[in-house]
Amino acid sequence: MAKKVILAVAGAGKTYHICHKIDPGKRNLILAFTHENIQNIQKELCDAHGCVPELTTVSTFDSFVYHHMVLPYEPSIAEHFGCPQIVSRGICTIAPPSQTIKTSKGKTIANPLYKKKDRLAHYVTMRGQYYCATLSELVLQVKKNRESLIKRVAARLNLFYDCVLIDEFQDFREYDYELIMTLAKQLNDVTLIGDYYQHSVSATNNSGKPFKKKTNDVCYDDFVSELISVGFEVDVTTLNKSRRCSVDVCQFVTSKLGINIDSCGENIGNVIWADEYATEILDDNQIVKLVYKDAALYSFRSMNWSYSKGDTMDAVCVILTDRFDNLDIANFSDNGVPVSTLNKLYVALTRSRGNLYLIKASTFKLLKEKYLKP
Amino acid sequence: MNYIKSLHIEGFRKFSSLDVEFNEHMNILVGENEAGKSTILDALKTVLNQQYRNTDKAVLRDLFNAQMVESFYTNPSVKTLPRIYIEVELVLDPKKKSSSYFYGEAYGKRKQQDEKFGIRFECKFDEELGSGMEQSIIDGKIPYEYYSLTWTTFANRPYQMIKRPLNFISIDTTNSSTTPSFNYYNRTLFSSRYDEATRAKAKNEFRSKLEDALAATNLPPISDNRKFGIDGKKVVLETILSVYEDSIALENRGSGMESLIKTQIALDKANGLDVILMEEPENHLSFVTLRKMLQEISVQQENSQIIVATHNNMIASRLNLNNVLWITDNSVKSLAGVKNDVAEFFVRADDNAFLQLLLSKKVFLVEGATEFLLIPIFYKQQTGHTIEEDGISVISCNGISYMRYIEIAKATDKRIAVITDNDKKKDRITKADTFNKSNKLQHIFLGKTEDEWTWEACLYKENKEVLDNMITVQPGAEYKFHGEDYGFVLGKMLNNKVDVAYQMLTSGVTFAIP
Repeated sequence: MAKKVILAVAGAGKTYHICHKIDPGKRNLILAFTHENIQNIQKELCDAHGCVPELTTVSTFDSFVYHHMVLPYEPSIAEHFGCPQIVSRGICTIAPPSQTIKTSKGKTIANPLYKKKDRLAHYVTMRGQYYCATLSELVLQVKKNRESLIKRVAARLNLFYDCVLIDEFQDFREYDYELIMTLAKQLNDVTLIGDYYQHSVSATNNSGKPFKKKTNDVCYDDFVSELISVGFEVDVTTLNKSRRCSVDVCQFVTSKLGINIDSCGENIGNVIWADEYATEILDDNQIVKLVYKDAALYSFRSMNWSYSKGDTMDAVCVILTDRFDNLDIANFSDNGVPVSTLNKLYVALTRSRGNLYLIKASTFKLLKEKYLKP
Repeated sequence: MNYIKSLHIEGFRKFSSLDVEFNEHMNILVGENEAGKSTILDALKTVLNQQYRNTDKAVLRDLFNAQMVESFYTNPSVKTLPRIYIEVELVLDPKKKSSSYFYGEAYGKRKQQDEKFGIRFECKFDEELGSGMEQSIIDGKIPYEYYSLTWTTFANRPYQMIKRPLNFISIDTTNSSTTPSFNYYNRTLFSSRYDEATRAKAKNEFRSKLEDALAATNLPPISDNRKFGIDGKKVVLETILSVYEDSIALENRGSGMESLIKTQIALDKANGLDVILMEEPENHLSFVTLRKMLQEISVQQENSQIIVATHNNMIASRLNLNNVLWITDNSVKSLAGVKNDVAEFFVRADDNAFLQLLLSKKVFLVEGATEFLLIPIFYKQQTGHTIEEDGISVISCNGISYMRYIEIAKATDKRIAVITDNDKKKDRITKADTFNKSNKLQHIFLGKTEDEWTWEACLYKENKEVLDNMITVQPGAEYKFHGEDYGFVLGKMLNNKVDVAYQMLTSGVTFAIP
């Protein structure tokens, strides 16, 4: 029973590590959050082994839950909800009706379309499609007497896979996270890999468990002890050095954001405040500009902070927001900045394998007009 | 080891409903003509090979169960339309890549139940596609064109042959090796023998060499910008491959050799075939070749699962009758329960009537040739019908203990009348009595007293006068039998059993039946 969590820093080579460390002769299951993650993993596997090893399966988490935990067990699901045979028609990505809605006067009232979680309609649309958003909740819900679906699904995974790896596990929230944790308890060999500080960066999942308890943020240490308490071995050393970021960039991130990140020293690059020659940087198409939001509005080569997650660039210029105008002063404090914003900044600051240019919001505002797309 | 565990059929050809459990290795399907042996093989091919996937829906006319069609005609409605449902349960190695694709609880009663590996096939009227057909259905027309055929795994995933759960080949000798069946064999062998990378490489190289070869002919172009080129779709490597042995293509060998070689190749472990279907392998084979084939099969049967449909006695007994699946109306009986020594006996005894026993409704089991000749007459005399009319066979044990046959009769609930001698042994009589008391379907008939010690003795006792007149005795001959004197006429009967029986048979005289 090997249960491992590897906490990595940005640019430490999570994907590289996963793909090169697997035994291609074993039946590996690699799950990740997005299709982009999947493509990166497949590419890296090809680099490492010449192709995706025959017995290795790479899938998005949602697709896997649907194909391996829901579809083969539709008879149990129907029985659980006391419905006749389900004839399902695939999956849909529209959001299920929320529990409450706001009236035109701003009052919160119960949503008449909302279906309670003990009804099949909570998980399946009128047309017989599963809501993608409630798949994990469904798997956690179904049981008959003491025989829970989750238990059978865990047995299934143990039957068909020798090792289960879940990449970017900090991206999973609420029921997805709960499903992973519940499953992990019963799996023979599971490894979760992720970066605590990159949580809440992807737009779809910026709230809730496991990074919030009630309304308080869960800090790094508490998060680690929580994992240890449920039986994981937590590895914070294997991937604690960034292969991507230079020493200078790592020191800057550590001192300003209080996030421990070391550099392998493989890449050379400096942190450069570019406010004095901002136009020169903004005009240079070799340098990718990372903005907090609305990257599509600008004529220069740009990307939103959160979208840059997972990418590596040769040179980056981060355009800061108002809140970080004094990031350059020695005793900068991030007190009061939402964790999700801090994490997004962390992601943006750690994209470059070379120089990291910084431009303050106050500087950019003066030049902005010129760079707006017509 | 991957194999077919069981088959469930509803409304397919002969069967309104049928369940078959298969053995892991050897399976011999035995049944009368039309009992449904080939229907079972066909059902497996329909599911695993997606047979009929692209054929015209008119074929459904032949596939539907006649009873179901009949009951639709008596009460036509959308609900009573005939449908076909077939489920194949498999045993797969979970270590193989795609096995999880077949594993789930979407089979049978569709309730919470243990996961199994398998594929289900359904052919039914598609109500969405066929909306508007309701009136013509009520008028008693089956809308074949609006039927949909679906293949789904027990994990509720669509089944496509590319995701083959096991390597499956069918060796069919019933129709001679005309191209389609042969090509299917070659193609299957090609894909099970080589892995995907090897196949892709061969196909790729073949195509590019072919283009080079054409270029090398320096064929003048048609016009400035037009020339002939090779259409890759017309030369797909698998479709033009053939197996060669000593530079002779397999299809150019005699049909007998062809099926022997096909079988040999299929059995070879290196070719990685999990399941081999054989339909009447005895066709086109001489006695000697058949024996050779059976020898190979029985030596290599552990490598794969073999399902053979046959009429041939030797096949059934040589391959061990424990492996026989006996098909009757809507049921299949396994002979796995027959005792080992009995099965072993039939493997060794070449010339036995084991299949005849299985294929008849009722059987007279007799000691030798005399009874064999006379019983049919006596039967007709007694009942007014011939034994053929009543589906009864007479099997002569030729000295083999009838108890072995009884074992099989018990396992298959056959009605058997054994006619045997007590050989003046008291304990035989008591044994037979005990047996008869505990068995309803099998009965042992024998002389009740010591002077009725053999068939001839009984006959003579009842027909003394007629026989004394009919049988001429050579003067001076003693007609002693095993050194004992039974009188001249009975003595001659005992010494010339077959001749006398034949004389009685052709005499036209009506005899009293013992």
